[in-house]
Amino acid sequence: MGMHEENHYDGFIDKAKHGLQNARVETYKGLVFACFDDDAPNLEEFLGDFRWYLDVILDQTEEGTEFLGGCIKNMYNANWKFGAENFVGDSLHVGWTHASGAKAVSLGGEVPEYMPVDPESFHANANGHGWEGGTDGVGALELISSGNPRLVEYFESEREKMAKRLGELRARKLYGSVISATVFPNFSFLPGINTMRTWLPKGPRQFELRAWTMVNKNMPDDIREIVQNACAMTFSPSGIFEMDDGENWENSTVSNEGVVTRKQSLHYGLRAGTSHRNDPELPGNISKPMYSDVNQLAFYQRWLDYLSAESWDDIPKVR
Amino acid sequence: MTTTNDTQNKMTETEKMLLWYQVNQFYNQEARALDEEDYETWFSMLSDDVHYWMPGRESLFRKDEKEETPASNMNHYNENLQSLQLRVARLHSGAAWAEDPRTRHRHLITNVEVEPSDTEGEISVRSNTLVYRNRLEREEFWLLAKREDILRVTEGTFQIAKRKITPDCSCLLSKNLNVFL
Repeated sequence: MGMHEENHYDGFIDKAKHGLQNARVETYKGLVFACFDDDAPNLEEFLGDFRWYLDVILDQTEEGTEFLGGCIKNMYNANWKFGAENFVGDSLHVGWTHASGAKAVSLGGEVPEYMPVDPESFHANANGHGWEGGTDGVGALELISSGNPRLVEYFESEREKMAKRLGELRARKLYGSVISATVFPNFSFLPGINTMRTWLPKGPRQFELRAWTMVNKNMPDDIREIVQNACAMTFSPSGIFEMDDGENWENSTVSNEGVVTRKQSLHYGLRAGTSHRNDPELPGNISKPMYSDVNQLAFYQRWLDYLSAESWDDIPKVR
Repeated sequence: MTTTNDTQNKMTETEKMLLWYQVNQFYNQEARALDEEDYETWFSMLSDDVHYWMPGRESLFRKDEKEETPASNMNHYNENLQSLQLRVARLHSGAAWAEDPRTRHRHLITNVEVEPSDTEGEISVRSNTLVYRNRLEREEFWLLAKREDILRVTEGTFQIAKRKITPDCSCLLSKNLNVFL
């Protein structure tokens, strides 16, 4: 590092004490993570069992994935954890919050069950990361298709190849279902809809949402176009689904600051205590069906782990 | 006007003024339709094959700037008539919570420049728009953008065949973009 008129600093500065802090950088199947703490666990350990779920979107093809050009950014007057929590486990908000979007994409017809209440739908969490959703394999793809069969046809034709890499369960039942997920603490995505985003805190009452659209590198142009337009139509500031989410996140932030509200604890108990680690197929802590607070509790448990720890030794390596 | 061409050369100053006046009237009517959420009227002002495009913007170094296409970058809007109608269907669903109470919109259209086109029956128009939104008690958002339109001249009025909206913001300073520009 050098600087302008540096000789004037002779005897006044020890440059070794003023260097840039090194960021530890590790990657997982194309995603780049950075960390400023040399003592933090490595990325594989940090992601733990959640890698199995990340692979559903990151490892469908030999060629891997890429982002479409550009990033959509916008601001919310809300606490960033409402976004992260929404994606980590809030299956229950969908039916009510997104009734308007679901009616719109059904083009005036009867609204189909994009998220059927399937007894096999589930909450999965590992180390504070969480995945919630169904197993029908098509809900998300139909949601973003608006009647155009091309996208579903394309993925149906890809499933066999996908199954060779990911197995039948992930290739045919998980991918394509309506699912949301958060990598602790503030990176979320929607498999099938393909929005990837980070919730960047700008203080306790404001965050910036940065959103990208991810596609497989080998996707044909017309499929890329459908996915790109679908992200703008559904989950983006102009999206007919996300518009109503912003209302929730901002109002939750405001209402929870009230003197009376703060004296009353919220109920986060749906299916609390029901998750277990012995599902024959699914790694992590599993609770079925998806209407549940299990992942939200795990997310906030992990947040508590981090905030109350004196050192990394105080934080359980596996949660 | 910044360019001249054959069609333009044939127009008298009075004809140019009349055309400019008619385009301004059209934009004012469109702004009123959007302010009043009168989407039936707005859709009638769009051609059946309309392309309505609003790219996302990023802060880039000048050397990294390049010509954008709808496919090259993420967009706020990349719409045809059907997809615009689908967006409006959300509003009319009776369950669009972010729209009840309603957003109070105000569209101001300025800096209108009309350029007759070489394509028979079309003109290209540049304008600026300032869109103000106010909601609930104190929510307030201002949005400035450049608009580049191709208008089709039909039976004494116009239809919007193409619109590119270039916002001046890179990070949108609001929780949503629940407005057309």
